Amino acid sequence: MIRLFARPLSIGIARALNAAFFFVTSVYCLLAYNPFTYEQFIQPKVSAALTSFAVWHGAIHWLVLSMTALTLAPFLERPRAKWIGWSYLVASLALSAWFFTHPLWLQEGTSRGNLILAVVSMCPLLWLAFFDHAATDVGVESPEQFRSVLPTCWKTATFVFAVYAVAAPLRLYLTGGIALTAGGLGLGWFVSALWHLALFTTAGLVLTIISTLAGYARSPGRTHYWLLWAIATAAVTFVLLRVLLAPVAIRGAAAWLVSVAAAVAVASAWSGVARHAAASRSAVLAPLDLWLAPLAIGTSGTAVAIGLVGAAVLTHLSIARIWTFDWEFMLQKLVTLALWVVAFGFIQTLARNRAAPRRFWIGPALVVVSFAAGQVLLSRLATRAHDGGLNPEFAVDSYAAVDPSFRVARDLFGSGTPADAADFYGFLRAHSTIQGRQLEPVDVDFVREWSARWPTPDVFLFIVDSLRPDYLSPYNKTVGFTPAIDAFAADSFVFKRAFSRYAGTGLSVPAIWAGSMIIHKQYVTPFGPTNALEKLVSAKGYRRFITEDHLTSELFEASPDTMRLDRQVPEMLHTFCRTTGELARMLEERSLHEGHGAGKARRPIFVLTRPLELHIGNIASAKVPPGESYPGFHAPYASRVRRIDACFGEFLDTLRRTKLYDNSVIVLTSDHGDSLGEGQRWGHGFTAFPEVLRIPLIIRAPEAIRGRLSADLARVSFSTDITPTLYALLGESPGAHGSRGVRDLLIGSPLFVDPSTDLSWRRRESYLVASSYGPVYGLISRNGRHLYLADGVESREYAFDLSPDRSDVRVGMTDAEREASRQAIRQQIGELANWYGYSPEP
Amino acid sequence: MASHHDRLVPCLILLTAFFVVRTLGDRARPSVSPLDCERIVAADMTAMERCLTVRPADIELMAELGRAYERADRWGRAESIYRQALEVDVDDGDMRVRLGQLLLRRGDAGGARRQAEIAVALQPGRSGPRDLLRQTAIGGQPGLDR
Repeated sequence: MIRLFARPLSIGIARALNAAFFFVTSVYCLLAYNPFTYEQFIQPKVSAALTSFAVWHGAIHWLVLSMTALTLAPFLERPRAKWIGWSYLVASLALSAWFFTHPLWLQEGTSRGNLILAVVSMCPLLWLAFFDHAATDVGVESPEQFRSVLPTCWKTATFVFAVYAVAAPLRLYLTGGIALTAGGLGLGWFVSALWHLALFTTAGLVLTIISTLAGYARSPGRTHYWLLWAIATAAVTFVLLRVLLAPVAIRGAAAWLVSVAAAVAVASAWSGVARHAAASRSAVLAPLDLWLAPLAIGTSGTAVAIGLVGAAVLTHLSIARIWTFDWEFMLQKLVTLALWVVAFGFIQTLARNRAAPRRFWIGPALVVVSFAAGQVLLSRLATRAHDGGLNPEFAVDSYAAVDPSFRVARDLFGSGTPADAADFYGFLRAHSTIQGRQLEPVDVDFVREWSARWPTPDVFLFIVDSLRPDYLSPYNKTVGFTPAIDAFAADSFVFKRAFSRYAGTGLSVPAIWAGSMIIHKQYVTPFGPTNALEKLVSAKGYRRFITEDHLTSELFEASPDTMRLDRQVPEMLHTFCRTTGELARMLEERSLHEGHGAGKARRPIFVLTRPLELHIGNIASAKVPPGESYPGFHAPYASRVRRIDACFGEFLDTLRRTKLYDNSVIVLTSDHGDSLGEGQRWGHGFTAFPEVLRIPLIIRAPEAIRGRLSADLARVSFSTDITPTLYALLGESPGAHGSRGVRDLLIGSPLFVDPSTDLSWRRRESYLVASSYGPVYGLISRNGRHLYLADGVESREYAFDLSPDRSDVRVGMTDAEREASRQAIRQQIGELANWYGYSPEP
Repeated sequence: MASHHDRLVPCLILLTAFFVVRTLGDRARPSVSPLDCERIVAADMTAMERCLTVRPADIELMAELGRAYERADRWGRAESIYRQALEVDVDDGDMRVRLGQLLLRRGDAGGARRQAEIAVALQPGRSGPRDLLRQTAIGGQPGLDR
């Protein structure tokens, strides 16, 4: 029995589980340490899996420790490994006890202790690696002749390219919203093949340099092996920084510290498993073969072929499973990188022990020449191609959406940003996710003195998280599953071109309350001076009914008689039906006590709620009830919209029953939209693509008010207009905030105005929008028909035609347009920084 | 040693060549149009017409050009440009009012009324569409918008 746990496979599995446990522990602690990720991921418990891991952390550690101990047992008798092994077990027992008394999920957020724990979590892996090295006695061959690794690299490049290229047409067919013609697909294949070949040739040259440098040492074999360890450590550090940490805006010293610690631990752990694998074969291996020993599945072509096919199938199955909830393609990139390594390892086992030819460099030189020729061809194609689908900038970008391997190659090893753009992207990053700076709150006041031109109506503000307008019939005539909202819209004002100023809840909701863009920091507190909505609600003496979530708890001042909705309900489980059901009961009860109808004085009601059943974290696991189908729509999402519609209709019936409907202002909107597969995008990570920025905005006003005000339903409108619009509907006269300058572009405007007020100026201006979670900014211009995006994470720019019948097609930009857009973004971000008295550190 | 150098030097040269090619390839992006339409002067009709060929969906540019045509009494061109703008954006209420006023001035009260009715639906309560609708009913001349 004990021999079972001495086998390389058992040891490999145990080490992998152990590494995964401590790696996830480190990631959790790092997310908790970073204020932004703590607010957005940990506190609202966005990931159920991560939350469960933290809750059951102690028990999972005990399980992992048990498995690890079984694989240590066969080697504890060995002199060199004995003390390392026993000390590891004793320390782990102590650690286990500490985990049970200091549960992970109860650790204080954003404390330095979490950063320390994130780094220290890598120590067990390193400790075990020491044990594995001490427990095995493996010789490393110092080859007398040079054996080139380049043929393996080329075969790996060809295999990996083919695996993803073959699947690209299917992914294109299954995905909507990618404008890629047959010619564009061919161009994508060509560029992808060239990129894979060039990239793996580069890797082969690096490996060749390493083996050559090792040749100068006294022990070439051993030196070569440890140089491979160093390269692996550097590669893992690079991947962690670019793929894992940058997408969640974790940079700087903390990111480097954790990445290097994790990379050293992972590379060392791998080395330990490799030595066990080599020891079981009782062979003296070449350094690279020793390093790849865990991947040696056999020396026959059949075994390798089966292994490669299995790896390809597993890769596609994994991607199909994870693509609907994959923050910034993070998991797809990691799966792809794993395939690269596994394929290389499998193919290398077939490498023949032949000396490389003297002129081994001819092959790589041909690759470099081909790559250069390809670059020239692409630049010529951009100017000469009459077919817009062959524009390399668009075709290659579109192809990258359906080929994760090419996306990884392009994103990880893309060339540096040109000097003129580097400064611009640096500016964006310097003004984003501001941390560690104390800023004073700004005052947002839409009126100097309160007045009331008419009696105060009740206000119901429904901000349905992630609700898209194209799933509502007032915006999309092909929708047949929102009859209640359709009927509501017929009695309301439907603003056709409404956009959120922020592509994520974190900043979008506070900006709605402020009626203005706010600085890219979560958050400048106290928020009271900036919260124009709260000022309005207080001034008018509203009785408040507010859903309790992490934003309202932190940023919306509670009055003594605030009625909290959804108390004790986990935030991610807030649903529209549950909340409106609770609210309806409260209103019906209240109507019995306070009376209702004309002539009976009562405090007006203000309701604020943000249900989350449409959030991508919930949609990813949502099922479609039997009997429902939604052709042309994402069925789980559409099914939940249908349910929301039914509950919305029931709630409006309650308002009519309690005689509250006629004198109510009812706003149905969302804080942002979401990607549901457009261009293989899911969710609303850093992106600010059109489908994430578009929101529904349907406002019902009492009959008595309608006749006094006017609106332009096709004029571009923003989430930051909601609060000043409420001011106008409640009888106030919100004026222009200060003079007509850049700052007015940041602040919302009332959507209902006196009939003769000039509204045309907004059609000519460009309005800043942003991601809530990273340095991605955009401009909405031409009355909501054009979107320019500058992505400071990937140093990339886009432009989209948002015209109603153009399906958000990506369009080109002239250099003048690009420069004008960058200037406008700089100007508005700069004005926002001035307003808050913020300047980035040099 | 000789064999080590024989491998090391070509590898370093090839790696350098790869990164140089990659960097130069990114910089070889062609510029599309030298015409700087971001800073166009509204009164320059010729410049606006040239910009329109590069930016055929720029409604704000069309509105400025239409005003310029009206000032120059080129009513046919103005009507054509307003209709072109409405093909780009059928929901532009301001453009419908502008076209309606032009049609009324040219004696097409029926056409003006149709534009006014659409504009009223797009801009409920706004004085522009309301006034135009009233004018089409009484057959009056709209004020010239210069």
